[in-house]
Amino acid sequence: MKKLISNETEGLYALAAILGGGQCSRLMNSMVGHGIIYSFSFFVKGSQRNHLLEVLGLENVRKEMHLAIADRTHAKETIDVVSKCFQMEKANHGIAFTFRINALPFHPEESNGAKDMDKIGGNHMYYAIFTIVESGYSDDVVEAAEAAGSRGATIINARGSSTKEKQHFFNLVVEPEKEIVMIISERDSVERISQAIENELDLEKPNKGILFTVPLEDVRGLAR
Amino acid sequence: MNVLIHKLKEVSSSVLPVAIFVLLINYFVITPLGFDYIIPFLLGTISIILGLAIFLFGIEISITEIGKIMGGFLVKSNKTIVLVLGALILGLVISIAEPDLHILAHQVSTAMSGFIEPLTIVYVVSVGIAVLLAVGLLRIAFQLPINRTFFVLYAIIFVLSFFIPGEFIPIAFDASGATTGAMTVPFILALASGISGRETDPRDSEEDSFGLVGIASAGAIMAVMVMSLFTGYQDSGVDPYVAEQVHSHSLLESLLHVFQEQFIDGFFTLAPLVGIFLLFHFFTKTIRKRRFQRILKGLVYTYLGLVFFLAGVNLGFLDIGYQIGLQVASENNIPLLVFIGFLAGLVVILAEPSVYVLTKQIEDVTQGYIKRRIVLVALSLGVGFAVAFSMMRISLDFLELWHFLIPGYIVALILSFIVSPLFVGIAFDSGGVASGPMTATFILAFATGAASQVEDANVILDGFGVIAMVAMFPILAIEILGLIFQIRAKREAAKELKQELGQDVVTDHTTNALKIRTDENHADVATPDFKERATLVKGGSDHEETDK
Repeated sequence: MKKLISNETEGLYALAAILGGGQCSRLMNSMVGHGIIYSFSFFVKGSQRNHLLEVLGLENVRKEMHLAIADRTHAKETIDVVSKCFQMEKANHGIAFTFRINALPFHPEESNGAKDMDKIGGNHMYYAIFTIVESGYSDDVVEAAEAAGSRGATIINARGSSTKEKQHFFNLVVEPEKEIVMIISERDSVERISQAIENELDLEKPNKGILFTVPLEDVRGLAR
Repeated sequence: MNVLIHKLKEVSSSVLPVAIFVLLINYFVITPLGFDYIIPFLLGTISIILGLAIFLFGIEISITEIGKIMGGFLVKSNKTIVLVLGALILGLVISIAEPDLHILAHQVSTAMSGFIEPLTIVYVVSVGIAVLLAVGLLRIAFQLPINRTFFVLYAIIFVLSFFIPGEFIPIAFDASGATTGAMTVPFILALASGISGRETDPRDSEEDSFGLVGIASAGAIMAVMVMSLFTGYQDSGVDPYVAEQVHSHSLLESLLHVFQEQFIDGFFTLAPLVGIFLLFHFFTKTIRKRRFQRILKGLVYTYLGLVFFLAGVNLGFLDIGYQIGLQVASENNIPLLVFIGFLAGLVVILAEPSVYVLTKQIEDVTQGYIKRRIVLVALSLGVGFAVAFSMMRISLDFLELWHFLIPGYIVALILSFIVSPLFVGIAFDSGGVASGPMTATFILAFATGAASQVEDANVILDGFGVIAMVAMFPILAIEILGLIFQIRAKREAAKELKQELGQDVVTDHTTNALKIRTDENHADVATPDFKERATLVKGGSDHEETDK
């Protein structure tokens, strides 16, 4: 990564879009020719806060998430195209956002990293809260976050383990299944939601999960 | 609510082709059937659409979850004894409960003049499935190549087929399709993905998600064959299908009757699996509360959906299928019969519940690399040809079932050494998937109707063979699809490599990004598959580490 960053004075940006299942091919088409370096999509679960849906067991919807990497100008350009293409100003038409992925670029001429960080962190209206937990615990994360005021969450299936020691299933190397819960939150409630998740899942204790937040540059499609 | 509406739309688009097909045939090809047939058919179609949407949604949040949890449990145990015992118990429980198996057992028993009790057949076939389910799990555990596994299994089947009475061959091959029905397939698929989802090697993980259904189906074939070694075949002269056709109730009566029957059947189908799940939950207490509640809600959806779906199928599609087959065949126009058979196969498979579950798992596991639609097209064509050839076999004297089965399976086994293991697994799974409740009623009734009009056609034997064909052709179709994918991937890889080398406008960071991607993930840039992407999903946590 280091080399990549030093070549980039402007910074690299990730563009994420969460759409209804099966729409990502359309998304990719709309992104063609906008300076995207690399992009890929995967299936996720979207969870909405709605009491009636919860009672019926309908709160989770299959969605598709797309991640693309581009430089700043192109990321901005693309998110405009994408949000227009999917009419994201309307409710439930998908969410898109960009965030800087090399948040601490090495600038020789500007050695004050902390100041730089301040400048970056200062203007952000929205944050994405990522929580990585053991598979099956995403419900608890979502529940805690909703109690603290979050309106929805995206759950990404993953697997991984923090230890280098490998688990075995006969001849196979296996890792525990994980779930990544991504919650987009306004700046004012980031702290409250993260704290609620941390308390609910005892994240302070070892092996319970990891939580981190990422400041978002540009967010589209959040219903107000 | 959006979810259900979305599901309804999706399901309608796959059930409506069958409905349109039936109506077109009815009004343009044959002497139109009266309202006695059309009204139950339309009611049945509505019931199928509603039922299928609810059922599929229920499966997604219940049966699939249970399968994954159980698979995960087996992985964590890491003991041969737990794996084998677990597979045996689960295999027995789910197949004993499968309604299709009971229907098959009844038919086999009738065909043998009640020489064997239907329940005995159910138990024997269930044991076969359970044992092979254990074999399938051991295959994953010890990473035996999937093509060799199928080669050995089908070699055993071929050897067995020389020793058993000839009449049993179609029955045995039918069993493979009939026993993997609407409940078994989603559960076994989820069980496989519960294990494969934890594998670190992306390629293995993809491949091991499929094949288990196919292996379990082979168990049913073997079980019937072994059973027939110990019993003889006696032709009873009774036609099991036609015997079931006769009814003279009013519409309301038959409606009530069908629903009542399905409410009871559905309960017994689900009960054993739910029982095991509850026991598991109360003993291990590892399932989180909200997830547990959602699974219970999902089971209710599954039950209601199953009832409506099966009621719709039995109400609307059984009689009309028989009548269409009968009338088309009575025109004495073999090409027409074959062509209509082809169309019937083409559209019916789309409404098969397990097809949904399989194509969804394919999309999930490959993260959209293999698109659902392409698999559907292949399956559709496969089943279309299967029914078309079945009609040919019924109409033409000199064609026998084994003329298709033996070369078909030989080609399938040869292709399994050429096509990538992922497609081999999907192919053999789809064999079991394609022959679900829709085929077992509509296509079977269609074939029986046709056979009843053809002189010299043995209604029992010809009827049995159809499912065997529907179980085999999709294997070929998916393997051919795999072949196409392979050729295309090679061509694209060559193209990309050319581009990469020839492009001088590539900015610094592009090449770097590509390099980083390949270096970190040991993945092949030319054939980007999902797993490589998944590592990048996890890359999110790596960024955090770099921040520190």
